[in-house]
Amino acid sequence: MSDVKQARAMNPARENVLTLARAALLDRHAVDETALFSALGIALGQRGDFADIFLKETAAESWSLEGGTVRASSYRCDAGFGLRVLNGEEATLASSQRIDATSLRHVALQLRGTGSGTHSFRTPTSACMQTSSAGLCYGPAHPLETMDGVRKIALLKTLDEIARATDSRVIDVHAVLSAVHETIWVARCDGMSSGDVRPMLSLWINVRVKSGARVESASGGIGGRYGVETWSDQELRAFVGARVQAALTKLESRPAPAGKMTVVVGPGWNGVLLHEAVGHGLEADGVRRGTSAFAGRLGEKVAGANVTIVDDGTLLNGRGSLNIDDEGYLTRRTTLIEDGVLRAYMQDALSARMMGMEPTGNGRREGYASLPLPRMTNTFMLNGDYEPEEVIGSVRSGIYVSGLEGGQVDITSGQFVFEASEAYLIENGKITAPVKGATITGHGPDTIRNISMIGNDLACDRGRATCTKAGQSIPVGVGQPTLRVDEMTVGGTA
Amino acid sequence: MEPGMTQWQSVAAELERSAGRAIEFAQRSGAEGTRVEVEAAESSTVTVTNRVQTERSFRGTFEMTITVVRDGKRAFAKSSDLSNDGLRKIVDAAIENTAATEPDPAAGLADSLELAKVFPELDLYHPLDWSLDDIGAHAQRAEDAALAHGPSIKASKGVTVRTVSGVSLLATSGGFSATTPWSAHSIACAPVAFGAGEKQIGFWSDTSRAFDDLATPEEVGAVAARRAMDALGATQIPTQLCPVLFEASASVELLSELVSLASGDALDRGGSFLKGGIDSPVFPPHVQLREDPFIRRGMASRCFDSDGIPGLRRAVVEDGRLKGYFLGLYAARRLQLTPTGNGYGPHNLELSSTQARPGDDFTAMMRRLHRGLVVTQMVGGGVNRLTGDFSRGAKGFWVENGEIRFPVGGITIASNLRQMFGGVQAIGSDAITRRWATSGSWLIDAMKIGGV
Repeated sequence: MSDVKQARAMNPARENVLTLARAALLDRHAVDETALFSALGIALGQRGDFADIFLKETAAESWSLEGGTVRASSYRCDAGFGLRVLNGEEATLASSQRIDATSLRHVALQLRGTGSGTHSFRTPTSACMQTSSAGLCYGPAHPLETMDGVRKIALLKTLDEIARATDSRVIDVHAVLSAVHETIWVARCDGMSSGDVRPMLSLWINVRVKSGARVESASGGIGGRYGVETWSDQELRAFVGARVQAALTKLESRPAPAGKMTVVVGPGWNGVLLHEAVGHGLEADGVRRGTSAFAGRLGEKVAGANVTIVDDGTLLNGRGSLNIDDEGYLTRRTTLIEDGVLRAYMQDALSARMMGMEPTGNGRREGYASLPLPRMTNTFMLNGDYEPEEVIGSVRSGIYVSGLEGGQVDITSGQFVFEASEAYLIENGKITAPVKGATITGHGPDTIRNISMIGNDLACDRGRATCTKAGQSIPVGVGQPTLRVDEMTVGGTA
Repeated sequence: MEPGMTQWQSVAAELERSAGRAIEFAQRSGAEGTRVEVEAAESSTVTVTNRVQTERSFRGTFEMTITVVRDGKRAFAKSSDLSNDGLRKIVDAAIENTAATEPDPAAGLADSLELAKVFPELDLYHPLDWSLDDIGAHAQRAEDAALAHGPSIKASKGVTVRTVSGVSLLATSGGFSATTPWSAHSIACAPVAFGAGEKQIGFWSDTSRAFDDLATPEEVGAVAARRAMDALGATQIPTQLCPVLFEASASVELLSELVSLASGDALDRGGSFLKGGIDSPVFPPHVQLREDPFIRRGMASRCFDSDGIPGLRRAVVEDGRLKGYFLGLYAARRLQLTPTGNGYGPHNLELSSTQARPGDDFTAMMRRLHRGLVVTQMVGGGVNRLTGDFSRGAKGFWVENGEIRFPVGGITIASNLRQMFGGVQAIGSDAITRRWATSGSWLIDAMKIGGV
């Protein structure tokens, strides 16, 4: 786990990022801060009490390998801006794919023209650019340009070869390499104006194996906010090898049991369990509206004394990390649950205002045409005291989950659901036979109370999680140590 | 706008010019085939949450997707910038990427014989010219109806009303060019019922091509509220094997599993147990599944797919046997089969049973279930398409003597899709349509329930 200050100290090039972002989104389109703040003033009119503008440019590329060959590539570019006006809790958003002074004024007038009330021009109090002494959580790498198509294809082919060489039962490999380069700029009516350059590289692989008539597959991914040079050969080999092993193990799997039982959840990626069971319920929008099962419980003991869960948008090169959030606030590490006590919710600007709390750098949006919402960044549980073997050894009969997929939560009832795609029986304290994919379901607030042992092997996922809320998908990070959860419902067929 | 043209025709003319330029740039850069899809759309959305309009948004979008084939290799590029510079940029990106990829025998454009020749009027374009305030007032009616439905409904996660209209264009270097104007309107409502130490959310929605065809906000609000209230007091049931009745809104999700299994993408990638399954029995003989791409105002109606190939009015399942797949051009070529015009997915599908009687409404279906689980909603979990293994979270009701006894939640349902499809005992006459799927409730003989 990277320490906040350390991560920022390692990247002292914030000014450079601002210059790059300004060049890409403002200078290139002959737009300056005067135009941005003029648009904000028009849009605010008499009715609005807050306004911001979000500009974003995206270039994305992906290469896909199947059947040993790379037959297709795709490239996508897009740019636009969204102008938002708040009136209390009421949010109005208009967007355009044309970034220029005329379009800014046109969209601002559109917003000013909606709703009732008289409008008069109101200029923002000050228009100074935010300069922060904080460093960067990631640098402005350009994963589309750091490597050409030929090298990217060579990388995919290497993965294919590694997988096939690992075991003769590997019958196909599907691998996708995606590179995204985003530039954003945010200006708020309170005078804040700032930008960010956000690289993202991700590699996804699915390995299919066959033995007799039985076919199984296992998939996984790695990625983060960096250029391709970050992956060593050794790392790639370990990543592919683990997926081949997971698929081969499934060939031997038997039907999973059904009913209530103890579940030991392995470290790392399985932190998606916390993301669903707890994380979404701590996002401030559902809390202030009373629709979250965790609403109104600040200061209450919601979990055992050994449970501490944080959201940290500053992890070095993390998939969920942001130098600033999509409302221009610096990201930070927020302790959500400390020693079992609920300490904080994740806030965007609107919820923070409504609840009289501080923004926490969790205001995120999928793009310029979507409204910001309080969203997670990198969310994980801190270490407990047990060796992972002790946690497993404590279970007489239950299941051990090494891989989860397909998580979903209903924050209102608190009920969440997962597919344990890679799982084993635990018999008399030992991991034994692999079992087929089975759904695991639980009640979030009950589940964190039912965490009875926490391992000392915290790992953060290496970068594959995407979270969808209100139709908006964004990259996030997850992590956890090995956990023992009592009384979860497992949906096998045996 | 040119005189005498409606707004969509004027937009369509502009898109045609952009597509023509993109094709010209690509062909001049060495492409042997170029396909361009453009979509221009305008949408207005209002979400009302506890009597506040928490989202009011309008957006106009352009997106062009260009596919080039060069030296037998294929690449895609997408952009919202339809200026000459923007078009050159994506053409260059696509052409450059073909230099790195490998030849693909399935890559080319459709043969002219495969292309749509007739374009029946599908009546898909009914734009709604309402202000955000008008749309918000409409959404508020649904929330008011939900809140008035019962004293336990004390909050809402929101009512969203959205109206979108636009023009889609497909053009190829082979001379195919067609524009389709379309609209879609939707309403979705999610009220929250408060009980003793618990909250339950209810959800209901509707979608239509013409706004007047949409369910009234009062109806959507009341149904959503009833679903939230009915779920109060939900408990787990013992782990057991029992028959399961899927409400129509849940059975359309099971139908979508069939479509995924029979789609070209899954078949081509070897990711479906239905590969090689044409003419094999998938359902019992009473089950029929028909596809019709040409239903007027249908949510999944279209004259042609992403390659210009028309869909078919056909039986996908006849007397329980699988008669066809859902194949776009590329997957069809890879599988050495004939494309079925499904490059954008399935068209309007309707599942029925030769044994269904008009009186087989949901109450009658519960009598047939007699004792077992009603599933109103499935959540999360997973389906293994290679093996058919099925395991998902669920909520619903426990039924005894054909009547609802109590709400159920926090359970899992598991089986294998082969057994589930093969175990469809009856299909209700209580059909609903969600996107491309129309189905009544399904009664399945046995599934494993995971509970206490």
